[in-house]
Amino acid sequence: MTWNGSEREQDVRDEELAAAAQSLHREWDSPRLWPSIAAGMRAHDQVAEAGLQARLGNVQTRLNVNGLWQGRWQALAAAAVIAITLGPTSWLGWRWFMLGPKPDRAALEERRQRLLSEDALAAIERSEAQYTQAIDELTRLAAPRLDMPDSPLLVNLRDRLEAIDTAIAEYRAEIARNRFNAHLRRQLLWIYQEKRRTLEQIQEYAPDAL
Amino acid sequence: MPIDLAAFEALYESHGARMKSLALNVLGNRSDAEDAVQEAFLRAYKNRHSFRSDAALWTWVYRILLNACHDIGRGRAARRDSQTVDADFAADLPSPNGDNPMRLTLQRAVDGLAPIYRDVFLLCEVEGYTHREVAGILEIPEGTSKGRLFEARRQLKQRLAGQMARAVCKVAPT
Repeated sequence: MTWNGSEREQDVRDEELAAAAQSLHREWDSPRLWPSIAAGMRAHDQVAEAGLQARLGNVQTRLNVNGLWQGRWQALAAAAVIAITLGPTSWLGWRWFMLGPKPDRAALEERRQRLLSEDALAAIERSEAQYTQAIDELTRLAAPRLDMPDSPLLVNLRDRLEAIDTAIAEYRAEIARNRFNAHLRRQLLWIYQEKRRTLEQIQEYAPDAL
Repeated sequence: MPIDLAAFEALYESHGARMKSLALNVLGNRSDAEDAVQEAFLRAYKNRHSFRSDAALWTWVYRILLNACHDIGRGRAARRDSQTVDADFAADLPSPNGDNPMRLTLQRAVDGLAPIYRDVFLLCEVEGYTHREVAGILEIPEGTSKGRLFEARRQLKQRLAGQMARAVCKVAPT
């Protein structure tokens, strides 16, 4: 094969190059490749199916709630009957309360403070629940990307997510034992924020896959 | 018509060998090539609902394969040096035409091409696709495919001539 010469040789060189290029085509057996691809596809279907079931479950829950509201006139009627029946009894009870001995003011104040703390805690817990739900939704959206074949970045993010989930479980268990510990709650919130950031990174992973 | 797993299996049966060969020539080793093919099929499967039925499924999957190869190549560049890749080529696979030294020389010359020329050269000259098919894969006009192949050939001949000249200088008596 020669790689210089006249214009006529130029055509010959093209043919020679084409012939040499064909030698770059190589074939080899990969008996495990297709089974591995097919397994990945089936795993994707299972994840997608699980996500669909979860969404259907949410819709079902909403429908049940709507069903409860549709029966509200029965509830109102029942409430009216109860009010008519208990009205005189309630009046007697109110009279007894007003004329009876007054409880200790200090004990009342302590009870009020306690109720305030409970209210504040309940508000915090409601916010946490909403935040957790939002992160669960983000987790669901990120699930297909988590199922993608390993890449160094994705492996790193997946490992971090597992560590975060472990930490969340530990903090939640600790908080269940000590509901009023503000420090633990702040830590848990920070971990949730980490999880949100990690999930967002996973969501952003390989956006130009196609 | 829905694209199911069976459709992809049929595609793998008909094009899998050439897809692996293409990925091998882009990435330089068999392991990365198989990873790229696997990733291409999985990406295609997960996004099959976005596939336009007016195009051919196989050209779409080839396009995804080339993107997967480029992604893997970029990731690999960050963690491996080119010497390792050359070592992978040295641990060679059998070629139907033999001629290992020439093949390695040509392979290195092809590696030096810009991706837009390299992809067209590999698809046309190595894997035997027509310009119409390459145009479908790369979503470019046929004329562009022809122009890129011409430029790829020109650059390759130039590089090969240079390498041959250097080889002659090395063996020529002083």
